[in-house]
Amino acid sequence: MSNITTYLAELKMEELPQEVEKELAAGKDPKEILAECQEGMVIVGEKFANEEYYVSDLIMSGVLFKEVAALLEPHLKQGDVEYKGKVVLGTVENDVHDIGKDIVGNMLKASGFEVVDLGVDVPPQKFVDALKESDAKVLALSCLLASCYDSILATVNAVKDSGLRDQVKIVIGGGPVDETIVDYSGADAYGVNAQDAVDLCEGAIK
Amino acid sequence: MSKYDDNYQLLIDAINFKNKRPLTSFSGPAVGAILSGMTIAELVADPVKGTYKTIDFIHEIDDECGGINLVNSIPTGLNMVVQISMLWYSKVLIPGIDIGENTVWQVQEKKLIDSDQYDEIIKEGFGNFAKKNIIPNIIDIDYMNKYLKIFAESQETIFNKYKDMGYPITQDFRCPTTMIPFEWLSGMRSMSELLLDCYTQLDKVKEVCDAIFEEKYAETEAGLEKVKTNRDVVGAWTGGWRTASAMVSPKIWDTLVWPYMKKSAEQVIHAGKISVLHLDQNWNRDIERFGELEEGKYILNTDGMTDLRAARKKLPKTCFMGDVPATLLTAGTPEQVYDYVTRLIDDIGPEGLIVTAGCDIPESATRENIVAMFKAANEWS
Ligand code: B12
Repeated sequence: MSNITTYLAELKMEELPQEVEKELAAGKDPKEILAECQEGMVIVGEKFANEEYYVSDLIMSGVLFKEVAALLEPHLKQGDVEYKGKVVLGTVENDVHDIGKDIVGNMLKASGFEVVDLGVDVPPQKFVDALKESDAKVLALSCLLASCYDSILATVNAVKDSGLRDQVKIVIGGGPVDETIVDYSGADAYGVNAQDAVDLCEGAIK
Repeated sequence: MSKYDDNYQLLIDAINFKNKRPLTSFSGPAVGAILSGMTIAELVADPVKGTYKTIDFIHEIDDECGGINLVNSIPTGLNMVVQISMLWYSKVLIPGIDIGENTVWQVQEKKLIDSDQYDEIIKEGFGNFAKKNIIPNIIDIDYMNKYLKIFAESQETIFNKYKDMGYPITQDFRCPTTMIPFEWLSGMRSMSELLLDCYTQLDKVKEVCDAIFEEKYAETEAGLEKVKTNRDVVGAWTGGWRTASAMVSPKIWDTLVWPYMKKSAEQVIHAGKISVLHLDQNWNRDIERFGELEEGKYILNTDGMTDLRAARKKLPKTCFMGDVPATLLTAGTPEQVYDYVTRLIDDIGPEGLIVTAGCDIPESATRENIVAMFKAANEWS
């Protein structure tokens, strides 16, 4: 396993950026560094699934991944990074929980998706606008409040009204979301964790 | 004996694992008023009216479900926006003013302080620091003072009303407690920034947590002195949300959560009160640690994510209060709710069990589901 992968998997806050700088200076291909980081994120996900890591560790892996991406950016040429696909992500209207959404966003990025993150308390129309603007084929909604099921419904309906529904897969998740809410809202599928989010988005773009 | 005295005795029995039947407790600061036709904006604007609506609501439900023994988190005339701002040190948008009439208060968790201000907190004291740097940024002082005055004027009558109706209050605001500093710092720093500090400068975070806790502990001590001899002030809560076992790594939990949570609970217990540990999210990993507290003096109030069946094996004599999930109370059917409660009692037994909603009954719950939750406990055999 490369140093970069190990440092990310072990959440080495100081060593990882140093190693990235060192390897960049030595002329290593930034795409390779990115790939090694993505490998590290997969290990973090596995450790979480095995209860070796907890939510705080997932958040920290996201912070580290972002930091490395910022270091690599000036070295990457346009078109260097090939994205698997685009996902519009956000927490639905009237809900401000973002810890889970951020983890989902980071895991999606780490597995090669371009993510348009709209933040929290996102009104339905804003999701539609972002879908149009980005041409994304997946919409991922996070919802932690039972009182916000109607926000999921309203978002799905807004996508329908915009005429985009048959081009966009809508996946949902967050604490209280399950199959009943998929039926209630007319979304396509739900997931219980960030790995599910990645699998669902991969399925959606196939 | 009055209904109040009966219920009081049942509570003491349940905490000491001597009850034969499960108890029931109503917990929900907003749902009673909302289901009685108030909007969230009206409830926030007139918390006293909202409280009396809730009291009437509990009374009606009590008749329908075969009896409610206790109340836990209930409105007491305090404006929810003021309460939540102070609880989390975050700005809260006001329904009817900043956001829609029926939109639930929104907590705007964002970075209000930088990590280099930890030293300021240590030097100036947390109270002074918050007064200067936090409170003016999260709430309109006139708005806050207006509602604190209303609360001060109405609370005694309201507490007496709950008593007249026969309900001991397990989580009583008259009884102060010391919060876990991590929860406050999360509100002020935002959780991801605070975690970053935990991974990069844990010693500093610990130092600031110690300083905050010490100061608050002393204030609590003085407050407890005032209510020590008041038998009706039964218990006080210490809450954990972002500090749940599933949320933070063992190192953070062992350093920044449990030492404070334990001391906070012990402080309440030492004053002769019951410590209600309000545990949202999943506490499975560390649940055994609560066994370090004095048996028969505390209640674990979980929200459906902690596995009570596993917890019962590890804490055979601890009183549990929970844990019907908010989602089930909103989106489930009365049959599903009834079933959930029946299975819970079947599996962990009625002794040391108080049936209530996970966290609180959400304002989106249906009346039928609330009745079904209590009915299931009362009809269990
Ligand atoms: C932390 C927290 C807060 C923090 C939020 C901080 C933040 N920046 O997000 C604060 C303190 C601000 C907060 C506020 C409130 N909260 Co809150 N909060 C929680 C708590 C303790 C943890 C949530 C969390 O972060 N979990 C960890 C993350 C990683 O899990 P997650 O979000 O579920 O995400 C994972 C999966 O679900 C999935 N996932 C998430 N999104 C998506 C999307 C897709 C597409 C997919 C596939 C998967 C996926 O992947 C993630 C990673 O594994 C829960 C307790 C609980 N039992 O969940 C309550 C909880 C969610 N809150 C609740 C409530 C009621 C509130 C308040 C209304 C409180 C109040 N009385 O005012 C306010 C809400 C204000 C608002 N308008 O939103 C209730 C909701 C009840 C309900 N179901 O309706 C809960 C369940 C507490 C309870 N037991 O009652 N809260």
